[in-house]
Amino acid sequence: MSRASAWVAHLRGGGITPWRAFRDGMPDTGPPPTDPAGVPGAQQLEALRRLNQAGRPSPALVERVLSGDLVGRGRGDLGLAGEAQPHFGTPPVDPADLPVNELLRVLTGLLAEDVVRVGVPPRPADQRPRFRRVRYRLGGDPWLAVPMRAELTRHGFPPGGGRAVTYLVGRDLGGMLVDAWTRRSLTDGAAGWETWLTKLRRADRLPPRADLMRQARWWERRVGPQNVRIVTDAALVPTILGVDLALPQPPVLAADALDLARRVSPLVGLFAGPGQREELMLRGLVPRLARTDGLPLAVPERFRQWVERRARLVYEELTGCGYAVLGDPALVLGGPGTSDRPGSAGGPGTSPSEQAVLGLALRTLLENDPHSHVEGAWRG
Amino acid sequence: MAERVLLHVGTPKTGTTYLQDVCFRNRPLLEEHRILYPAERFDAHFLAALDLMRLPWGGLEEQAVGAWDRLAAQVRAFDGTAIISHEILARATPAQARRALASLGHGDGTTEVHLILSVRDLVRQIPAEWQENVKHRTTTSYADFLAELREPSRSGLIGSWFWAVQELPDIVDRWRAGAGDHGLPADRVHLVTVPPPGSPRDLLWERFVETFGLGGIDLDLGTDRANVSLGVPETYLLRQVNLRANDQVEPEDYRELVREVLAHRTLSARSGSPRLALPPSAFDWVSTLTDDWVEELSSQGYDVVGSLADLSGARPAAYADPDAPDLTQVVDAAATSIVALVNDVGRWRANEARLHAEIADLHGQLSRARMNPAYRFKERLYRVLTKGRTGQRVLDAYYRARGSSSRLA
Repeated sequence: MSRASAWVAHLRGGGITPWRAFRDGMPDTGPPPTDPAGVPGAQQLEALRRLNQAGRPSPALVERVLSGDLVGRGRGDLGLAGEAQPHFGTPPVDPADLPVNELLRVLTGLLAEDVVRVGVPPRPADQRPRFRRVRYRLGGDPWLAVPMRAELTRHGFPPGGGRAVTYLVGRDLGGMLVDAWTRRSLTDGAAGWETWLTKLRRADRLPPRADLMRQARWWERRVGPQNVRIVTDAALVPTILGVDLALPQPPVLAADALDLARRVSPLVGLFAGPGQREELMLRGLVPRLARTDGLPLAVPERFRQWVERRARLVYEELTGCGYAVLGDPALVLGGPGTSDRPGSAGGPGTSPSEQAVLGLALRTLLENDPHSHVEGAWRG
Repeated sequence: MAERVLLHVGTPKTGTTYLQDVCFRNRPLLEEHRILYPAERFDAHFLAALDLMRLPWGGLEEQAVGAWDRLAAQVRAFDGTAIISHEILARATPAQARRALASLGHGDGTTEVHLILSVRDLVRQIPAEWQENVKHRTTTSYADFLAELREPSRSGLIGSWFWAVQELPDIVDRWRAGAGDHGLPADRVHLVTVPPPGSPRDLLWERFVETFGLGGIDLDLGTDRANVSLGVPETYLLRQVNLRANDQVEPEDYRELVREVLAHRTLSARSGSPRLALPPSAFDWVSTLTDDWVEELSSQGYDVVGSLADLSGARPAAYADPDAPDLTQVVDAAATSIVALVNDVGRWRANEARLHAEIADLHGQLSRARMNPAYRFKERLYRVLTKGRTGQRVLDAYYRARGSSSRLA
């Protein structure tokens, strides 16, 4: 048996010895495998080694990892450094030197498969529209507005109706940026958090989902300024609408969980047909990831000055625009004490860490498999 | 079960689009000759390749779910020769090649799979691939692009993709590895070489005809899908546009206005500017690499349609650096672009004026309709009903009964 084949067997049995140590500790006693298609790439093998470190994967999960596709762009299956290699193709690597991204290409593909396989829980039926209609539309920050609208509909208060007033819900601008990126990451796919912020700052513009004034102008053209209201505190919405309901707060995801979801989201489209991704992500994966511990996402310090400047512009527009503003307009400025919602500009938060995202991907994969165990004592 | 499957797996920039277009537009005629080109839409094989290789592609992948299996099922159900062609299949890993070949019936004893690779010298492929990148919003300079190609680990997105779809011996090795125990004999691997510059215009097509068994079929060859190429100042200009537009221009606007109007319809029509070429400093590296490839490909005994000598590209006679072009030429290209865009805006304005005239006409018709007593009665009734809650409930009941709503959502 060649050293490469022996290492594959070692990993299949739950081993955690890195390739270099394994190779150096074992004489090469056989020819290299004759069927390269049957040998997993360094990325899959290292992903399995890390999975063995994180817990005890079931035999089925082991085989899924070994045969997992490297989704997305990047290098193909890589050979193991120190083994005989073909003259052509990408040079072999020591798997321990692989960047986290290469391992995540294997793991996120498997997680996307899981998202599609698990599906979503049945949606509770909407109540018939109530006798007492509430004529409203709810827009603004979609991370806040969409779940509230769904809950209102579920309780018999569907949006719309003649002479409906449009309420645009917002919060502090930093928090709205967090929300806009969150929503975009889960539904459309997005660049990394800080890359996304860098582009916005360079273009000095707000994304449409976080731009309350742009949305207000859009609605004004359709329904008239008298039918547009801006709500700076989402907690006021039930009172404003006159409904006796506790409207849901959207889940707060840890920054690392959110970044993992961002990486999985575009891959869900590889396994689910058109139009299914949003539902699978928002009602399938997000509630599971919401249980993950960790600091929420926040605007990094180096972007604070830009966000504060843009928030002041929003505040000035808000106070001089002529729209009715419900709630304190100063809430959009953010800062300590302006919102108790995690992820707000004034609250604690962080940016995602690649290593933490990798760890979370490994744990999630183990948890998704009913026959695997996370952080088991067993080691091969 | 198909008797023969001709699996064309690349490479990009070798006339693949033209071949695919001819096959697509002649599907019924080909079937009369027992040749299947299984595609309901032009990009069917592209979608199948995305599905096989698990490649996200800006949302298009959602349309690709299950596309490879559907394609393979059509091939297996056909009695005759089937053609599958897409250049990104060059990137398949051995495991993906194994899945693809098995699904097409390779090794079942009745189906003969042939692997076809159309190939062109790196001297032309390298600048062509960079230009293709620029046409897809890349801002990477030519120097950085070349540096990434020469980076041994190929860990960047540019290098990993380029060599995956261009390193000929490796592409064939990966597909042959995918054939597993059944093997893929050398005489079922066909290399179609792109003739050198200055060759007769139809020579490459004749090589495709020979390889794909299309001789004697009266094919409709008309096509407007040929890839277009840009000169040095034009590519520079486009890269500058990318540098400024990427953060501001939406993808659909970029596709329509930058790629179509600017690159394809305007800048590619300028033929007097210096052409993109391999820099002289890179020629020896490319030449050594190519010699290595040619030696390997010759030693394997593959069927060559054309000549492997075609892969040894000629040293470019002239070179203009696309990172530092003659700015007079760039200004000229920019002025041409502005005129083209102004003309385009003029067309939009004319369209807008026409639509305004149509709207005014429709408003007139609506006003005349409002003079109708029945309409006036309905309007008065609506006004009365919307004033009170009871009336509103009557209206809501009406909307529900009608099954559709004119209310705002």
